[in-house]
Amino acid sequence: MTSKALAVFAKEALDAARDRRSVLSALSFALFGPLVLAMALATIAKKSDDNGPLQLTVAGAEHAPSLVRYLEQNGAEIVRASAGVEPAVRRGDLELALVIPKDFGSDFRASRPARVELVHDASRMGSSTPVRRVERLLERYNVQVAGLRLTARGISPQVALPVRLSEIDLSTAASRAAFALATFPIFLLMSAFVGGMSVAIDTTAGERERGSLETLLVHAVPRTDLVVGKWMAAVAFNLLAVLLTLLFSFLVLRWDRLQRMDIPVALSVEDALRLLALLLPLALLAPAVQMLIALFARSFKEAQTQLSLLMLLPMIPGLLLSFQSFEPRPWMRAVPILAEQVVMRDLLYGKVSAPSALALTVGATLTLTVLCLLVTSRLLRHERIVLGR
Amino acid sequence: MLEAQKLQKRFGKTVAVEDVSFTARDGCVTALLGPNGAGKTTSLRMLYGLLQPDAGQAMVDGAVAAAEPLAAQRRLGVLPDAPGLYGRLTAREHLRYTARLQGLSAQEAETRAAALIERLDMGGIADRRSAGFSQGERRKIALGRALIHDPQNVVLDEPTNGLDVPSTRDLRKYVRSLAEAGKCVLFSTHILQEVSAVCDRVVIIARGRVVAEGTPGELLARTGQSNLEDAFVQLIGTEEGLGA
Repeated sequence: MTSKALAVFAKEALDAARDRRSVLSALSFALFGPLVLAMALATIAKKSDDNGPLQLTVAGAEHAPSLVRYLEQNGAEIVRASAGVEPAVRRGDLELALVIPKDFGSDFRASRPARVELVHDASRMGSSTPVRRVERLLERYNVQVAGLRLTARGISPQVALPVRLSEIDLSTAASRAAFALATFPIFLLMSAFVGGMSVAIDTTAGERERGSLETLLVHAVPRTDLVVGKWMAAVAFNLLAVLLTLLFSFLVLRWDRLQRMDIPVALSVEDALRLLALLLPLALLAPAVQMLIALFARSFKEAQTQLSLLMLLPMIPGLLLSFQSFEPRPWMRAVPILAEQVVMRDLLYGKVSAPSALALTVGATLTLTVLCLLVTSRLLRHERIVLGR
Repeated sequence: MLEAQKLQKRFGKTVAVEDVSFTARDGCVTALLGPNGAGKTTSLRMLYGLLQPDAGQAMVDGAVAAAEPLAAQRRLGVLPDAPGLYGRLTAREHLRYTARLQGLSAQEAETRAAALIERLDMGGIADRRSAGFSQGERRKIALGRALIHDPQNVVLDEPTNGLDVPSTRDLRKYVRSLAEAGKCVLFSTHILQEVSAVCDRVVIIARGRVVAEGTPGELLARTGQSNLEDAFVQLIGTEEGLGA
């Protein structure tokens, strides 16, 4: 590291720190990933609450005491209400309500279909699960009463039941959470690409667009010093974004609501450090690649568009890997970006990769980083690149 | 001393510089005079190592710019045609950064920056960000950057472009003082007044070629004209692209 490269780093870091665009792009993403994770997990947490007691408001309970007793015996907590529950459901004060009309008793006794009304608002997302639970209870009650009536008339109730469906849902809150967590490495990975992107572009395509590249290049500075200094500034922003993303994710995963739902996702401090160690080489690689590509762009905007699209590319294997059944091949451990995702996935499923495999991954990434920096340095000697023709 | 020997440069099929040779000596202000598009900037860019000549060579105190760019650049201060400032840095930060790029220590950088701020009368803007600066203020910072490492040779590409009268006068005075201190100053311009005001020698360039070289007096004698403007028009064979 030469003092000239350090001088370039110091200038670019200062310049970027004063640039709201660079700072915001590094920080906003660090918040975005963990926020999405928190929202996904919160949804799952809410779903797991559905196995708890079912609160059901019943208007006219006195007209159907046996039905109400049946509901209570099957886990419903009955709240008795007077008539006029419809406005309360419409306002959203009540999720749903069961209305039993006055003539329920006489119809029931006469073996005529007795009407009950389930009042709910289907446009409210949250109500669909309790509605289904009430419907299922009523169906079971139907079958039971029908069975009794048939038996009373000397017919076996089996006759009236050609098919009996029993649904067995094996998904648990924990397994649903694991699915949400599979997307987590993608966010971590993206933080290593987004954090320094603005700086990487600004110090290359931006520098040329503003016309300061020519002035910079007339100084007696080796091109490698310029490139390394600029790269270090972008890396610094990248590291900031990666650290913040990890920190916020760590906090999300330690959230006590998740702890209560026995989802085995709590990220240990060791795992967080392992993830960080894995993201470090990526945080070094990303700006090197971005600077190289940005040098070919005509403007800051063009570079930004190209790089944003390019960033989606490494996310594709990440999505593939998020399916549990996908088995990574050995060669994948030598492909930078892909390899890190393989290791990260292993880590989240509780597997610790062999040191030799890790060394291969880190080595491949660092090699590509150095290669990109060298090519970028060489490009700065080309007139077409420097003058942007 | 700056030397151009049979420089040639083309961009695709366009010939920007066809045959440019001249020498700029120490203690002298040499003007590179020519109409717009004559090849002045391209010639200078070859001299300060930004462009590689297709043929011929450019030398700074004997160092060939294309072969040893760093050695040539160390002995050279450059004011390119665009100031190339960073809007979020202050004048002092620009000077400090440039000093460090030229290899000065942190302390030397501080001292030189302070000295140039004083010398170029930039005290009022030294610690303000350059985003809102006027043309003249920008040019001062750019000049400060060119001189930060106290180079023996100074190249100025159209330094008075866009400057108002007081700023232009200040700049010319400063350029003269550099030559009097024994520096070699090469100065590109398309403005004739500038030549008579500050230059010892003139190199006239048109359509990528040097058409005449000498002191203003020699050029008048050679063309038999009584003023430089007529001499110039006669030498380049057209009035196109000339500034008043």
